[in-house]
Amino acid sequence: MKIMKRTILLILALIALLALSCGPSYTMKAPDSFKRFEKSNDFKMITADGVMLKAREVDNYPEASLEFWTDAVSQHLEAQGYLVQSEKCFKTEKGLDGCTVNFLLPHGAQDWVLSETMFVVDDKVVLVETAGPFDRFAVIEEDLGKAVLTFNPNL
Amino acid sequence: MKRITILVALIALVSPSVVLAQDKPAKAETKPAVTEEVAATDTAEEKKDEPVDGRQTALVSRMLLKVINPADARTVLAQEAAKIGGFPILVTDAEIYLKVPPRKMSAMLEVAAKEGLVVEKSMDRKDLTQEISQLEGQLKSKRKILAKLRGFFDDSNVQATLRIEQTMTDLVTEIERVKGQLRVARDRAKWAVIEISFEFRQRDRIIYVNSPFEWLNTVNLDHFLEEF
Repeated sequence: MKIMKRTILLILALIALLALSCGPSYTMKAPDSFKRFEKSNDFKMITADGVMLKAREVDNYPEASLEFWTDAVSQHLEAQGYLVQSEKCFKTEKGLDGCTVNFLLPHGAQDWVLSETMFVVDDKVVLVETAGPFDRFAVIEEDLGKAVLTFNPNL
Repeated sequence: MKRITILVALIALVSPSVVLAQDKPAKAETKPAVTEEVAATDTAEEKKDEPVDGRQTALVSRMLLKVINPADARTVLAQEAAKIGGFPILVTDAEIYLKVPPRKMSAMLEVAAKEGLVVEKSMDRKDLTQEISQLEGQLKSKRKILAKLRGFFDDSNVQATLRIEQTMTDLVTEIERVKGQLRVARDRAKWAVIEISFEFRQRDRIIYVNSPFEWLNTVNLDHFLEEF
């Protein structure tokens, strides 16, 4: 009986450990030019010329709508000197509301784009962030716009 | 005697530091070179410096235009400017400055906007009418004084002639300075300037600002690159 209890506890601990190490199970049909870091626990991808994409989630605290957080991110980055290049709200293929705001900023000797796509899922805000030099980002921008329509946070 | 009094007053007005000799006026033997130069150029230039009617406005438009290939964009913009009678005044890797006729500025801005993504745009408009009128007034009065001084040579002795010549030289220098200012002001009114940058001019524009929403402090490029 004692051995059985220990075995169950061990299995539960292993499951918990496995769950923690796997991280979020986001899915997205990324453009062909993006390659995913398969071994990483994070959902991150990169193109050959260095445009990077990463998804993560933060607490939806204080609890607010997608519109609220889109506005807050825009204002926060504008206050830091970022320029809003474009803003677009959409529905994913699964019917989830999302908004993408692209920001432009000087970074080193180049001008870079930081793209923030946001989804609000209950108590979480899921962010799909992309960054790269303007000229390289511009080339994949359209494909990226289509790709985020396939994003599923699977929360 | 009356002429001498006027001469004293005039020279004192133009150059208070000049003190006239008390000698009896004597005829100048030769006319100074400065008067001949001035006489030769004055008539032609007076016509050129005649006041121009209407408002004189300086227009400067600035644009941050993001394009994938700045070299191609520069070529197209220079060609488009030439089509409307304009020309580039500065061309670098990161920017191009164009001078175009003021009436064609809007059209040129529209053409430029089609070449890429307009991220920032601003326009400065300055009325130069008063500045130009003032310069024209200064020029006119200085020329009048110069013309009057020229008339005093006949009744002056050598010493007085030398002093008049010095005063006239100073006056000519001033006239040239005013003419230069006037030329610049008129050129600013004649051409609208379009400054197109393909990159941020202010490279250090990013400053850290703390947000009351905790997670927003992790939304920025530096954090993204650090965590990637």
